[in-house]
Amino acid sequence: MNRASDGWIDWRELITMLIIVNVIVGTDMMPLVLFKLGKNATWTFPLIWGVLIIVPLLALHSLLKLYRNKGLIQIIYDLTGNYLGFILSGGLFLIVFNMLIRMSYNFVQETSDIFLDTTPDLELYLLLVGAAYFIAKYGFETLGRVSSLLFPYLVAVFIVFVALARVDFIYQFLYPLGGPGIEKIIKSSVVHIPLLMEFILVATFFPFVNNYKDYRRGVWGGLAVSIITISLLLMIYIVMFDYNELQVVSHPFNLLIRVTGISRFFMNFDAFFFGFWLMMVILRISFYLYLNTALFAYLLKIKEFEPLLLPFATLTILIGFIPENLIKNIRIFKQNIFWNNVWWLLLALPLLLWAIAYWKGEFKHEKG
Amino acid sequence: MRSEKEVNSMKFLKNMFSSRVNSQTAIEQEEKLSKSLDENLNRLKEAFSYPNNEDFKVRELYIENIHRKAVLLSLNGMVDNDAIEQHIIHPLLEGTNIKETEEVDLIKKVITSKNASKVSSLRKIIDDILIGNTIILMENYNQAISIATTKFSHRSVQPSTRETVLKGPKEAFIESGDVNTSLIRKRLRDENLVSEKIVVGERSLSKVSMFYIKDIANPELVDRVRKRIKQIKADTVMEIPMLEQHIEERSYSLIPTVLYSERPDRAVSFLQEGHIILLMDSSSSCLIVPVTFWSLFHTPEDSYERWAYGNFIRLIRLFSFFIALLTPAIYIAVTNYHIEMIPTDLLFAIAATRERVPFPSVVEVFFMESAFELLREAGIRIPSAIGPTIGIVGALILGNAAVEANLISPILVIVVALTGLASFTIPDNSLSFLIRIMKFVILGAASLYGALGIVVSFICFMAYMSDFKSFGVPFLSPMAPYYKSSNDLILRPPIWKQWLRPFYTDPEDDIRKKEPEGER
Repeated sequence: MNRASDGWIDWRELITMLIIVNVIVGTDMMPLVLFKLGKNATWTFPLIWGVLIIVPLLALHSLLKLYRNKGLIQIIYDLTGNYLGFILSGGLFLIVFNMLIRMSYNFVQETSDIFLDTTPDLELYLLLVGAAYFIAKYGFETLGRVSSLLFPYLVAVFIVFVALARVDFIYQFLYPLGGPGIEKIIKSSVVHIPLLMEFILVATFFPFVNNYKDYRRGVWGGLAVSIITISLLLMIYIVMFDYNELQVVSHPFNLLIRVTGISRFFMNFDAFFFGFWLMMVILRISFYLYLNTALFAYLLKIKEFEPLLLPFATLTILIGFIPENLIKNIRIFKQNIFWNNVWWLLLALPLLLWAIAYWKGEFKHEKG
Repeated sequence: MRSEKEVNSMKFLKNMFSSRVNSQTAIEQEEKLSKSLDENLNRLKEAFSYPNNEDFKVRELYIENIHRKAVLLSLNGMVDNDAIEQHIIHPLLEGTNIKETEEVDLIKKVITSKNASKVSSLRKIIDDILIGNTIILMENYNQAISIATTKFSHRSVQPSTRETVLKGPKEAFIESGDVNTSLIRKRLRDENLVSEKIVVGERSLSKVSMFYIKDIANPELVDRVRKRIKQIKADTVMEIPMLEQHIEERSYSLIPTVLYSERPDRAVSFLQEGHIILLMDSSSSCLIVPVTFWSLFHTPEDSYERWAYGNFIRLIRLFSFFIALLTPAIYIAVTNYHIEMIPTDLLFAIAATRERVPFPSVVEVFFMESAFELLREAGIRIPSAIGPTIGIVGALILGNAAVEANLISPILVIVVALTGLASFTIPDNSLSFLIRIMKFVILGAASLYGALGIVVSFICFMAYMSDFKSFGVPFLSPMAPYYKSSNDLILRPPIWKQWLRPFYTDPEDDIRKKEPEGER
């Protein structure tokens, strides 16, 4: 009935959601993999991703502007037809599903390793994925609203965190700036560009955003803030621990919050930061759960996809139990041929779509 | 099609099982007065169970000038006897204006009362008597005159007891519709302030007055609320708190969708933002719809105090909101799961005092929190003469003695007292209940999973709140979802900068005044 309850989200909600969902990348187990490649120049990775993703994002945005009320999957179907469209969107769905399972498994492991080591994994799974499901059940706009409500507090906590950690920084660890060599940095960072895949895949939800302007603002703003924040986080790890240590520390963020304290009275403040970190984790799982279900539904052209959230949440927990331990999980991650090819798919897909649209003359059509 | 016989038998059954009293079924909606005075009188006497019902007053008059008998009917206790005497009986008996030969219009020429109308339906006459009108029946007329003579007894305007302020007006609504209306109109002299009367209840004729400002309130919202009130299927709606429960859209939800206030100044400020106010004759409070979290969180004092002071008390309340909600949970989480967070010296001190306590700390917290809720409830129910005792008993026995008896550890007294104190700063009763109940939920989660439990329950609560709507208005708007407003949320800008009406009510006229220019 009024402007307030129409179920769309605006750029504030989009930007905060994307930042929260994406920044977590710097705090889970990914740095372990990254530091082995980037050494002390790992902090440049996010910046390189940011530069590389600009062109695909521009292509994607021009398509979204052209197709107004359609999401990514509908555009894929429209441009590439039923067969190729099914394969491409199916690929995206598998990537996201893979990510969702791997991610929720990692978070459960992390929580259990560091804080609740006597709690059974199943209970942690039920709590994390359950809470994520609870939020996702209320829909995309609630996800955005919760993010925008939490965001100011998260920023404040992050600032406090950096201010507290600052006393132990040794800035010399950053040198030499080149790290293992510029060529190697670029080569090894490109492979991990899927860590920014939210910014491309969020196009699936384009119809849920107020208008194109809000969408553009949210995605670019979110991209800028989150690559800078991740880069800052990686830099903090380096100046705190040095890169040698980081190649063996599996949870640098949790180690960092453990060694951070307020003067000599509150030596361990980790549970406080851990709480805020958990909120972000839940929002990330929630976002991926929603994205995953939406992709599945659009792939099979199912109209009402919210009832599918519960089956997918259950499936996430069930599949999450398959890998046995942490080391195995990392190995799977590293050796996964599928995963190793995701990066060029993500970069190429928008360009491919744009090229097809250009070739079909869709852009001219709009002008005329 | 059913045969007529069948329909009749159905009707009969319906009547047999209907709980309605005969008076309502006996007199059909359409029944008119007849020309015979006695017949009319008997019908009405029967309807009001006269002479068993002693409040039904029948006063017979003989108007000499026209040689006719007249009868005055009213209900004792609902009418102003002085007014009847002065404005009705006196003119009728003395009536120099009544001329023998003329068909006089009594309403126009004789009766000096301010409100009078002609009625001809029996049902309408009964309804009018029930709202306190006086009815005049005349011989040989098939119409009656209904004169407004309503007067109920009520107390005088008194200071507000639930929502007290240090600075600002003190008066509160009382149990009288007229007085309440005058309290509102006194503050808001606006020709666009509309008050609609809506009848609720199928049995007793309670009236709800719906106030709104025509060129500010969104017509769709007004329609929605009106429809919602008309939809009420209840025998009677006695009081405003009952009405609250009838019109709210989600009865089982913990979150209130209606604001209950007894301050006319508050009602007026909400009217000016495009909200709707509901009043009833018998209640000393009003309902404000729709509401957001902010209307429950704010107090009138925030705006009466100067900018810095007002914001200061807002911050304190925000702080106490989180304390009231989270302190027991955080205590449990920290002492049971994240012990390393406590400074070592304090940890030893706590451990030393807990040494002799036989229970796990969760049990202690639940014990003390329940005891506090007990005290709180007792404090409300206790007759005011022995009120002070409760404080002494509570503080002495439950605090000190429980510690002495090794039932609880001393630090817990601090935790519970702090939580209790903080919950008293929550201005709205419904919000306070919400927080007190959620406190136990989060406490339970924290005792099972520590910080994880707190986070999970808190974020789910947050998601629920942001999805919640009160009459179509998101509960946490205009913060999430964001809408343009005067930013009067957690903090507020100076009064002169609040030039926008909140957009969540979608007001017809968005702007309060011109945008102020520059700094002052």
